[in-house]
Amino acid sequence: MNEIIALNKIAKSFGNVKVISNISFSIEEGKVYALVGENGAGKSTICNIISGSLQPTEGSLIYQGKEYDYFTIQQAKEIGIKMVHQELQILPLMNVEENIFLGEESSRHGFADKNAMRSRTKELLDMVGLDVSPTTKVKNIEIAGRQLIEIAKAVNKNAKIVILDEPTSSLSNNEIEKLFTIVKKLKKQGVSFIFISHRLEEVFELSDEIIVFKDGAKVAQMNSKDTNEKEVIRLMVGREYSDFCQRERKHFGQVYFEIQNVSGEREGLLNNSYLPQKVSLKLEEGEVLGIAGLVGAGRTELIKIIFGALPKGSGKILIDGQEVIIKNSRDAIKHGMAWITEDRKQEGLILPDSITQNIALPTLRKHRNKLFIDDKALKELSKEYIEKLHIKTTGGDQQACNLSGGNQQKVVLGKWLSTNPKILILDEPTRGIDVGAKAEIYKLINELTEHGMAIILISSELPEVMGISDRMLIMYEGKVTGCISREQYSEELIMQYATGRKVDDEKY
Amino acid sequence: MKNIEFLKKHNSISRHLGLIGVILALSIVFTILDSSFLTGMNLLNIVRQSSVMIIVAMGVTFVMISGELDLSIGGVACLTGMAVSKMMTSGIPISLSIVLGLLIGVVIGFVNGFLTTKFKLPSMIVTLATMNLANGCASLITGGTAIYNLPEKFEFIGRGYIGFLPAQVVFMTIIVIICGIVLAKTLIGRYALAIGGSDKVTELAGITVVRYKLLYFIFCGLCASFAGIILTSKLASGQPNLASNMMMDTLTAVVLGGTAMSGGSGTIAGSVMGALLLTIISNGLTINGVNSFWQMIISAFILIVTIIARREKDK
Repeated sequence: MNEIIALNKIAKSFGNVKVISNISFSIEEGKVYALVGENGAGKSTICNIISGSLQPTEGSLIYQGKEYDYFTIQQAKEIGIKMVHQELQILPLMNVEENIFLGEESSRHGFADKNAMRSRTKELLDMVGLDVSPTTKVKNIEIAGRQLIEIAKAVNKNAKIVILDEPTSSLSNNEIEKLFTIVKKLKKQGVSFIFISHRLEEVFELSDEIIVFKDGAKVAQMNSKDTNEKEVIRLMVGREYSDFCQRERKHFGQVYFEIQNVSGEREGLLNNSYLPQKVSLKLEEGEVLGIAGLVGAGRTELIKIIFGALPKGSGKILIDGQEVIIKNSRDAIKHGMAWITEDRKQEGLILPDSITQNIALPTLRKHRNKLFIDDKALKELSKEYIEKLHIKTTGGDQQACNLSGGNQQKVVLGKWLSTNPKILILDEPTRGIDVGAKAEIYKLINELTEHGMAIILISSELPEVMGISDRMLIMYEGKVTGCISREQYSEELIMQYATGRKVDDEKY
Repeated sequence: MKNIEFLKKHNSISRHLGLIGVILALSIVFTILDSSFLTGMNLLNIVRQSSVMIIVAMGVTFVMISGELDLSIGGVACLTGMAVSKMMTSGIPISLSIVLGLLIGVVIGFVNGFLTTKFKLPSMIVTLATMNLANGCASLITGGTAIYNLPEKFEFIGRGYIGFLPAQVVFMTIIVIICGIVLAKTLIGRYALAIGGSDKVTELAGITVVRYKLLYFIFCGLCASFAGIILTSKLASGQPNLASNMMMDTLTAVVLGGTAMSGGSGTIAGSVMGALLLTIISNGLTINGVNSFWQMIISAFILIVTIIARREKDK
């Protein structure tokens, strides 16, 4: 096998903090390398160094026998290193073709060669299996489609190494399959991939080599065939998988929260998701109710209606047997609800603000001496949650944007737990966070329910909902198709409900 | 080392070090060039000259921190000045005229906030429209001519003294202190910062964002109206082209003071210093006999340097 590039004892520091040290490996033609490790382990940093957006502080990169201190972005491009970032870098107001050719427009005699670009775009869209016209504005394409466009852009010209940073986090299973087919096809043509994912199944399905990072160091590099999930997890965190996704319900209380026949304002789709139709559910104190379903089944929309963020067409919401009217999030909070939103960067945190400011936001009005805000109390509040939730930080003054994904999620949790909710809604609480933080969140769910809190858990990761919920409601195209208890859980059954192949008619 | 600790604790001082530095440096240069710059008289003069700008800057600071813009301030000041003049010369008592004048600012502020939040329009466009609306109305009152013969007592606001201090300096000081406390220590201030940081997150945290934004716009309108009254009193006449530079000057002062145009951060002290800096530049250059065309060019350079200095520090 031919080596394309090699990393030689790379280290990188930001200020006094060493993020990675002594990383060496080489990338050979036509192979898929999976980088795994907890958040903050240094995976993205190493990718940014390879793609030229960061310069290492020590070590070197080797390309065609020559040693480089660093690659410039231009050099990396020339070598054929393309990166698809976790946060998509795509211009929503431009069309598909313009995005794909941005910065590398084809030209003839100094003029843009529209015809060449058009036919190449069609070819690429065909390859990634996205059925849109090259002139569609990207803002009219859903997230999964944009991801595919990014990939098309990456492989457009002279791709040798394609870096995919968490490419599957916004894709449905179907689209993931498509993506994998593309990767496998390109691999045969000699393109190499660096693949970052928190989902180990995918890592094993796709990769040839697995490189495990822990705390900024490379702890192992193995052939995927010679290892298994358990071993990889042990290397990443020093724990076994079954240790951290366990559920035993300890508190059995009355039905505390109930919704009856709740529907959205109208039927049909809203931004690629179905609006809920006649959804009923009951939730007991101390219970974890999982809501499963495919992306777009209307799970998040249901929560939005409950929380007053989307208008309710019809139906009743009852708390502790009393009907309540919830017009906005303020009402919802007043009735003891808390909602950990799916998108923590947009809806969960004020990123430039400090941990304290973020945690204190919903309870600010309670922490006052008459008119004036009691900053001392706020500091104590944030200290309390930093300790309780083991948030890794330099202190309450640290900006939220400087925390890793897992710690950011803990800040969001702290913020909502400080309102003392009776009903906690978790929407994809472990998306994009590492195994260690996941384990802590599962543990927290168990602790909270032990004290009587009622939890609704939405997750696209089936093992997660199956592992941590007591009962499961499954939705399909806005309707509830089934509700099963823990003893009945099986992936096959849940998928049947989730794809509408099996529908129960009872009310739940 | 102790000094650094001190600065860390007193964040508001270290944040503005760049700005303080520029103000000090300029003062030294102007004093060397002409010793009359650094006299008690002239310093008080500078504070007086900047009072109106500071008052308006207070309103603008709140609006800008919450992530919006208000371009209508100059128009509001002008309309208020004309309306108050017209009312007083038509025999309406001074105090009632002033209250009604301030009400103009409240109403336009409300309209700005209402259109911005209710219809989710960009506040820049909304307030651009209300700016023209206010300027148009101001000229309509007299068909474009000035109003003279205002009551003598009215001149107190812009020309009178309280003790040895000009009345407008006293008004300004009171407003600044209140705004400083409100921004740093109350819900109204903290919510402005949070809303500017992310209105989505703030809304989900149970805060009625619309209501607070409305409040900031109304306060900004009120400040602009009050400024219009002071300026009119100072000129002892209602001028239909009053406050024509107010919008650009005030926005510049607030941005110089470190308030983010996109919202989420900013301080009262910064805005006050931004306004002082602008006044010092024009005052110092005037004292040194620089003609007004060169003044514009020189102040443009100083502004660019200050902004760059700020940016470097923020990194």
